[in-house]
Amino acid sequence: MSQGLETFYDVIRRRGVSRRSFLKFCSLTAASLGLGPAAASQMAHAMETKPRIPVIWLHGLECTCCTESFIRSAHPLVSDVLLSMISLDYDDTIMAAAGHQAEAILEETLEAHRGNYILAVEGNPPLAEDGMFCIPGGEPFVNKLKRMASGASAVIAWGSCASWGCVQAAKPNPTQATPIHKVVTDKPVIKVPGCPPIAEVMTGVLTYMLTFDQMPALDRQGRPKMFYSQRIHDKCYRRPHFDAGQFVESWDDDNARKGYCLYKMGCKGPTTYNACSSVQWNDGVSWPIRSGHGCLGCSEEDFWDRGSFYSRLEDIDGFGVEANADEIGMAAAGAVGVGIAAHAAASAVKRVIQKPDSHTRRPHDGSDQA
Amino acid sequence: MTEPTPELTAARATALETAFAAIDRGSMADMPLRNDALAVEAIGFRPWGLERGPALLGVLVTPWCMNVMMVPPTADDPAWAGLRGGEKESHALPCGVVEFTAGSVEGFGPYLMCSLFSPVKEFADQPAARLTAQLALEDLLKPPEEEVPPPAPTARRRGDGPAPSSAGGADGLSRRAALGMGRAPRGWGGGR
Repeated sequence: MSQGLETFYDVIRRRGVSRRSFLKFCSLTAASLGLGPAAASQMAHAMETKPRIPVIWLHGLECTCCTESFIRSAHPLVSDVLLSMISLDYDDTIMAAAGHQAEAILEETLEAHRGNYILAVEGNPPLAEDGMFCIPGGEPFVNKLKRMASGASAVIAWGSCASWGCVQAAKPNPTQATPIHKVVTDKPVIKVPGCPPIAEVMTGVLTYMLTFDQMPALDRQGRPKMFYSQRIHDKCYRRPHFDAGQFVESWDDDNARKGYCLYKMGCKGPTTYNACSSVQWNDGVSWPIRSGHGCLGCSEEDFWDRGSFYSRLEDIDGFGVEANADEIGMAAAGAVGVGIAAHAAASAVKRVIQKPDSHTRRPHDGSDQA
Repeated sequence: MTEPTPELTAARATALETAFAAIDRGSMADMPLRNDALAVEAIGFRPWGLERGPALLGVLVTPWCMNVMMVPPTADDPAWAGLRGGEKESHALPCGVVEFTAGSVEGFGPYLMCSLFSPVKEFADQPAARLTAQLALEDLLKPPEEEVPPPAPTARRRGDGPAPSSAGGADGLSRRAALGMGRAPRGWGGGR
């Protein structure tokens, strides 16, 4: 209980993180969130003065790649600080406690911090046979999920499993694996899809929530706009090759060596919203397309059921694009009205403007898409 | 360094159209994501000063993309010679800072592009695409409007709870929001 009065900063210092490192963490994180230096000091101030918010991290049907991504956040400082900071009151992959002792932590947190903790969920509950396909700690995961969600202030869906269902929900989905927003219906669920999500995206979302004590701005599908508003195809460094009709025709052909566009090799960049092309992976070392492979679209809904990873996109209808690209539907309107064109133009321009301080003047409900 | 005259600007816009029209007839002729109702057209090109020297700014419409383009006044402009394909550059436009990607196309030379739309299936015909391109260019070249604050939240807070911890707290992690009271942002789990 007494821990509830500690600040993030207290916890960090107690774990031996220097003030210099702490401030560096704040500026690194502010940068990864696309925020300016002012936000870094705002973040530092919040972490020094606000009580620590407990985080409970549950695992359902999943492969733990989200945890792998998260705890290997490329900058060691980020994982050091964040792991101290969020203190993961419960995470069955990395906590020291086990068995009944571990399960007791869940109940304690539920009682002591009801309404104040963040529930992060990796994986999803299978609902078939009364949830019998996933029984952590002796009870169906779906029950544990619902119980812990009932006392949470907000719920984060880590990865494509929790957000969309991912491979275990692919047809024919024998266990009836179900994304968590269909089970947790009385709480905001922040979807952070990807298989896994990028480490910087995960730490960024969590740090934002913990330090600013508010939800990040979400798009209509419930994904944080700061990381999921850009389409791979629009920000891809190989995009000029697409525009110029220069394509890789087969693996390791001359065009592949020249770094041409991977569209014909099945790249799903035109239908995928994620931060890979800007944040990249492994501390910005590379990302799938830079390493010569097309985008699988792993952060999009039902990406396992959309044909082969190597089949060419023939049509973008039916993908998750409509919900994002608000301008789609102009053709259906027939003769274009100036109003529709103006809206499409304004949306497109708004999308390409870099936002240095998006947290202070952000629409919070997708109102720029209305 | 060549200062772009109106004649030069028109000539470069035409050269850009010619280069992309060749791609349209060539490798993009049977691309499944193309919109056959559209044609290659360079729209609204005008002189635009960059740090590296004079340039031209406009929008390129093709049956597969609509891009903002910044192009050198001549194909062999030495100031553009060092630009590597795929390189990213941010440039301040009146609307804000916009990230461009460097490309190059045969018969025209280097350019900087920023994607507005691709594919472009949502446009019914060329006039619709042209109008959107013109309006987008207008938006890019005027300062951003002050964002209209969201409508005053009604029945959200009555002063009986803790104040939001920071600006914009109306969408904060408040108990009310968490409990689905008030106007919950779309896309949150409730009812979906």
